[in-house]
Amino acid sequence: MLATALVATLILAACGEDGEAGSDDPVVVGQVAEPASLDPHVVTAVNDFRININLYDGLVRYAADSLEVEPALAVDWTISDDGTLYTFELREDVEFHDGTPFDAEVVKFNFDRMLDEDHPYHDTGPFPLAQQFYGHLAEVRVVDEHTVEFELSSPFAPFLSNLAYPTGLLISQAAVEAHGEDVGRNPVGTGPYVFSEWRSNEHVTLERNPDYWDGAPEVPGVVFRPITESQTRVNELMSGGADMIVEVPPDDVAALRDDPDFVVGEQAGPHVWFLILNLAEPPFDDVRMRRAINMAIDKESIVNDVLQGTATVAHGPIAEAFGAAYNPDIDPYPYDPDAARELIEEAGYGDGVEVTFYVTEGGSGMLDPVPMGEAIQADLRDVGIDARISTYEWNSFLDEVNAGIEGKADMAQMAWMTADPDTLPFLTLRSGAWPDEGGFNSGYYANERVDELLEAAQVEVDEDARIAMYHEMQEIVVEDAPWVFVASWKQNVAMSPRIEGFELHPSFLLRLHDLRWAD
Amino acid sequence: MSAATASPDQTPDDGVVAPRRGATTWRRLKRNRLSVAGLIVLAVVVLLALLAPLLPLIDPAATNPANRLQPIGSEGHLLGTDHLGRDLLSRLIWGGRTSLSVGVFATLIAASIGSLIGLVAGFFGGATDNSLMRGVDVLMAFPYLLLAIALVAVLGPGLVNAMIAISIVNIPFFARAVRGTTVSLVSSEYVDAARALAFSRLRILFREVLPNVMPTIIITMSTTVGWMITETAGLSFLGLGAQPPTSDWGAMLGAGREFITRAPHVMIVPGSAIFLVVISLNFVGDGLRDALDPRLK
Repeated sequence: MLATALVATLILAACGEDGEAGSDDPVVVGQVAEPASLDPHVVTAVNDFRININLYDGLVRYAADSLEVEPALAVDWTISDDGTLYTFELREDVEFHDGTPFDAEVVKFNFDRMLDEDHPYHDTGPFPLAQQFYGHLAEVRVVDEHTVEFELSSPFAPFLSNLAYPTGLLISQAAVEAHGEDVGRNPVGTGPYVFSEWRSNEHVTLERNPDYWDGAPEVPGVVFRPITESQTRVNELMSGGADMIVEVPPDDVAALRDDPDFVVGEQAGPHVWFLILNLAEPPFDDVRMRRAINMAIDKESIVNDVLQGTATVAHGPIAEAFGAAYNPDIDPYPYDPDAARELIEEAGYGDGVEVTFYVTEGGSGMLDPVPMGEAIQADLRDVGIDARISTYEWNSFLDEVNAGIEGKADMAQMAWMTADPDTLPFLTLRSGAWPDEGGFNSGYYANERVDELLEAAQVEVDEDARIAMYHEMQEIVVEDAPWVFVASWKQNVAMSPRIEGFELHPSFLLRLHDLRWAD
Repeated sequence: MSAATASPDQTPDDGVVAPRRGATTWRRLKRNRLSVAGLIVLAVVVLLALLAPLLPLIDPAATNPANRLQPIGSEGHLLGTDHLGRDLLSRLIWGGRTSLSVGVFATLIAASIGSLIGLVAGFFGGATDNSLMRGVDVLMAFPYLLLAIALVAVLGPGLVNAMIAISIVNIPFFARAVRGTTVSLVSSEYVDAARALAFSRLRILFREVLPNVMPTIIITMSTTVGWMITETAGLSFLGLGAQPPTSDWGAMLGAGREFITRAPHVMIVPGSAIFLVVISLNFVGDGLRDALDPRLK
């Protein structure tokens, strides 16, 4: 395997020698993995979103530097007072890459395909995120060619924001009809780049869309290369095999920051890295133990030393990057091993206690899980908690943890990246989201007030009232400490200084529309 | 030596013949300089590993993230520190205990089970031979690492399970080698003589055949123990072996991979240890083979 990598590097290095990449060359992006599919309604991984966001458009999109929603294929919209009827005015001059027009029928087709089990193309799925994001949708109605109405069965505040999520990107009806399930390998959108070629485990190539409604891109195209091994990604950037790489390992971020030959971009995103605690069994059924463990772990050292400043300390269940929804007044747990020891003593575990700690080897958003797990283990040892680590490969880890950790483990690592402050707590902190109810509350936290607040926030259309609910929810959750809140990741890219016009976006997406080569 | 045990009136020779043979082996081994060098290296490594609890070492699990990735020769850390600021020298020596003992135990398990299968198959022949050896062939048909990974996936990660997996995938090597030697011994005169004396088959198998198969077993063991240490390291490298914070050379190597450009010593230190031990074992194994069984040279 090493030999192949070396040969590949040599070939690419050789290609680079016949001249620096010029304005006629596509930009090569080093991705973390091979995409699963390029069908926007099917995929769930950020890795796939990063390509799709350049191929497709949605009705709405995130603003350039925030998670606020702005017009995209819909030029304008109105929401009825009761929050159940959304009317979108569509852009009139847009065509899909295959030449078919973008109109209200296509919009209806896209959502019916995901949500209507009797739809002729519903079997081209599965569509794992559709119910969570658009399940409140009762009907999509075509009013005229360029007007479409969405009727919700009940008000659902995150709806508009969910439309901006990459699951809401719109695909050509003709392409779905022509390719069926294989449309994921033959994607057709309206976006700034047109799909050209996908060679498995080699690259996905996109070409510029000269007729893009929001202005044609300046670079001739973009190539996404899957480079799984993080160190290989860095080597590819250095040898010229990639012009831009994502998810740079912490130590390389530190070194590349000081290297004038490269530009490093970093931005905090809506990400929370935490430890799920098992509230169903001792010792963490005792809130004193849960608070103690929050104080026993040196989170500053984890983000600054282990992660080399590529993350910030998380204070609660909602990431700071969510802006208004984040409660700046919550009182974070300080690093205080002495206070932790006192609480442990009080809880009756002064003579030491053994806990099982599930650690994953890797996984999207998990950062550096094994070293982080080891650092946590060492901090816990100092306060008399003997954490026994069990490591699992990512997919088996998810199987174990998502099914609930009762009877198996006392604590487990987890991380979420979400686009709306609602998604994470709704899926992981409600008592209605316990694993046997199909949710992700794997540690069995239950608090009636939190349930009330989360359910009320989903249907609250008034933004200020909704934010107040989130603030109260955060205070309660931090007080109850069902998790150890550890870190919020700063996503990063490293790239050649010759690339201009690129900004990281808080959504963790990679929008390459405005890329250009410096002269 | 075993021919002697075949007839009861020669038993007094037993005590004389055995040491003489041992002495010859030792003399032959001594002539092989590489083997001697290998033996010395192994002796030092084993001694360090055995004495680890007595040596003035820093706790191998004590982290100090602020002091991470210190280079070789830094103050207080002779071999530097890893990505969590743990002392590499201490982890190397403690890790040696784990890696060596897992390699040795895996070899012993594989040798016992594999040799038993080989002995029985070779001695009884016929349907027994066929069914046993076809089973072994099935084991052998899988790429060894793939099989080991599959076994660990079923058993769950951990050192003991990694050791079991490594043992199982190495059974065929012993079974085949031992069966071959056994088949050639079964028709020898002293076995015929033992049969004529109406010894039970079990007695013939374990008292007559086994001692003469021992050189084959020892040679196979000495040449595979290094291989097994590498395989265990391979599983740990993939995260399927030792669980944190236990140090083990393979896991250390795997953790160091991420820092290969910034702090290569984190990977070089355990890598060199594996290299030194495995190459020493191979030298000793080669020497033993030459000394015990000149025909194989």
